[in-house]
Amino acid sequence: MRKSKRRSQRGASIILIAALAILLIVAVYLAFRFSMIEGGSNEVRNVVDAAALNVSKKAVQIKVPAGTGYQELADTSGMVGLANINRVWGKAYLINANLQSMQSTGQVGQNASGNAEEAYQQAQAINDQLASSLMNKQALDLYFNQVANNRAARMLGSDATVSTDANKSWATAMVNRGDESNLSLLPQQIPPGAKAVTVKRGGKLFMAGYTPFQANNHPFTFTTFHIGEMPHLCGDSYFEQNRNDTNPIPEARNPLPNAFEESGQAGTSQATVLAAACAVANPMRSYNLALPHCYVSVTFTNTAQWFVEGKQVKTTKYGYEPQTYWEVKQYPLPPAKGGGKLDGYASLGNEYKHPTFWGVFSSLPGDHTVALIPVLQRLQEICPNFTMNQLVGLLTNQPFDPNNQTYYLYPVYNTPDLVDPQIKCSTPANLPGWLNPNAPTDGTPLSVMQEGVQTDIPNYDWENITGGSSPQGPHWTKVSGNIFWSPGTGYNSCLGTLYVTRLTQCYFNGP
Amino acid sequence: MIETMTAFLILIPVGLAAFNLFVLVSTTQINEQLAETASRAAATKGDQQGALNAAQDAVDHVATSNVIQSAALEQVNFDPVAGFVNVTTTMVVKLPVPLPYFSEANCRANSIQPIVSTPAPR
Repeated sequence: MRKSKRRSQRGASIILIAALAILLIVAVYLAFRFSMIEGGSNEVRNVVDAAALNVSKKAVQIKVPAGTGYQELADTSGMVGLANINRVWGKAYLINANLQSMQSTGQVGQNASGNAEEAYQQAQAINDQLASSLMNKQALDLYFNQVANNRAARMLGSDATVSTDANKSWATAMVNRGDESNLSLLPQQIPPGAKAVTVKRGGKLFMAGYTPFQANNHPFTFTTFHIGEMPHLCGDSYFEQNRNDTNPIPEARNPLPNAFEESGQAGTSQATVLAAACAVANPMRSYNLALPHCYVSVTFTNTAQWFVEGKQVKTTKYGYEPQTYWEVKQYPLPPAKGGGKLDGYASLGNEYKHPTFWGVFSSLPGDHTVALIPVLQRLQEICPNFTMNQLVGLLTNQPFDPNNQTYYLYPVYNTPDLVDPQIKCSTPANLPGWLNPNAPTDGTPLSVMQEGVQTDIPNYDWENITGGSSPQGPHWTKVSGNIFWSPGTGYNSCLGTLYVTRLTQCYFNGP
Repeated sequence: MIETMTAFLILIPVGLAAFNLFVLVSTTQINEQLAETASRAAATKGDQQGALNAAQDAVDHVATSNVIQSAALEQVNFDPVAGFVNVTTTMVVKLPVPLPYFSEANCRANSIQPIVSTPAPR
C-alpha cells in the first residue's frame, strides 16, 4: 500500500515537470514569435516611413506641360511641377493685379480684361492638370515601391515584402496653412490698387501659402513650402487636420497638396502588418515673384505747330536732332500789317542735342523721375530689386540715337530658369529674340508729367517778310512737353509704354 | 531528487537559451533602428563624405554595454543619381549565457533612405 502510493507521487512529478517543460517551450516560442512580429512591425513602419518620404521627395518630379503663356516659367524640360507652380500663379497674379490697377486709374484698354482672364484660366488649367497628376495613385505607388521593394520586413519572414494597398487611394493634405510659399516678393512689386497676402520669414516677404486672396475678382492660392526645409515625415493627426476632403480651404480653387499619406502592408501566411506614414514635400527651391520676358518701352514724338498772326497755319512733325525747318512759305500778311509775304523758319529738335537718353529725356524743365515711377514699378515686376537710381543710371549710359524714337527696357538672363534678371536698354535693332516690339500695350495712356514751358529755348524761330513795310516782326517759340504712361498687363510681354510728346509752337507776326 | 535533477536539466537550459534568444532579438532590433537612424541622418546630406560623417555620428552615439560590445558603420553608399543612400551597420553582441564556440554574435542591418537634401531640378 505504501509502495503503491510512492510510485504514484513520483509519476505525478514527472508529468508535472514534462508539462512545465512543454509550457515553457511553448511560452518561449510564443514570446519569440511575438518579438519577431513586433520587430517585423517596426521594420514595416520604417519601410513605410522611408517609402512615404520618397513619395514626398519625388512628388516634385510629377510635372505637366507649361502650356501657352507660361513657357518661360517652365523648368529646363519645359514642364511645371510643385517646384515652379507658384511662379506660374505669381505671373497670373501680377497680370491680374496690373489689370486691377489699370481699372482703378481708368486705363483699361480694349484687350486688357480678356488678356488677364486668359492668363488666369491658363494658370488654373496648369494647376488642375498638376493636381490631377499629384493624385495619380499609379505614379505615387511607383515612387513608394522604389523604396518598399528594396527593403524587406525580414523579421516577418523571408517572403515578407511591403507593398501599397491596391484598393486604397492616396490621401493628400495642405499642411502649414498660412505659412510661407516658395515665392518671395518685395512690396513695391504689387501695383497700386492691388493687394496680396504675404508673410515674413527670415527678413524676406513671401506669398502666404494656402491663403486665397483676390485680384481682379479671381482667387489666387499659393502652395506652402517652408524655406530651408527638406521633405520630411509629419504626424498623422496633423495630416488628418489638414486634409482637403475633411478640412477644405475656403475659396481656394483646387489647391495643390504638399503632403501625402500612404499605408503599406507586409504579410506572410501567419501574420499581416499594416503601417501608414505621412510626409511633407518641399522642392527646396524658391523664386522671386516676377514676370520674366516682359518689357517696357519709351517712345518720343515731336510736333511743331506754326502760327501766323495768332492763327495756326500748319502742324508738322520734326526729327530727333537739331534741324532747320521752313514750313511757312510766302504767307500773305494783311495790309494792316504792312502787307508782304512771310517765310517762317525754325530750328527744331534742339532738345535732342544731348548724347544720352537721360539727357534727351530730361532736356525740358521738370522732375523727370516722377514720370519714371510707373516705369520703375513695372520693371520691378520683372526685376524686383531694380531701383530708381539704377534706372536713371541705365538711361544715362544709353546713347541716344537720332534715328530711333523708341527704346526698350527689358531683362537679360544668365540662368536657364530666368531667375537673375538684369535690365538693359536698347533700340529695336538689338532686341532679344523673345521680344516682339509690335506687341501692343493693352492699357490706355494718361498724363503722368507736364514738362515746363520754355520760350525760344531750346528751339527757336525766325522770319523773313518780302514786299512788306519791314522784313521782320515779333516771333517766338513755346517749347513744352507732356509725358503719358500707357500701362500694360504684361500678358503679351508689354508692361507699358511711356510716351514723351514734345510740342514746339512757332509764332510769326507781321511788323 | 531525480525529479529535481531532471527538472534542472530540462528547464534551466531551455530558460537560458530563451534568455540568449531574447537578447539576440532585442539587439537585432536595436541594430535595425541604428541603421535606420544613421541612414536618415545620411539622407539629409549632400555628398558621400557628409553622409558618411552623419551616419558615423549616429553610430558613435550608441551606448555600448556588457551585451552590446561595439557598433560600427559597415558601409555608406550615397547615390545621388538613384536618389538613395544605403547604410549598413554591424553590432557585436556578447551573449549573456555563452555557449561553447558561440559566445558572441554579429548583427548586421541595412537601411535605404531617399536622399532628401537634393533640390528639385531647375
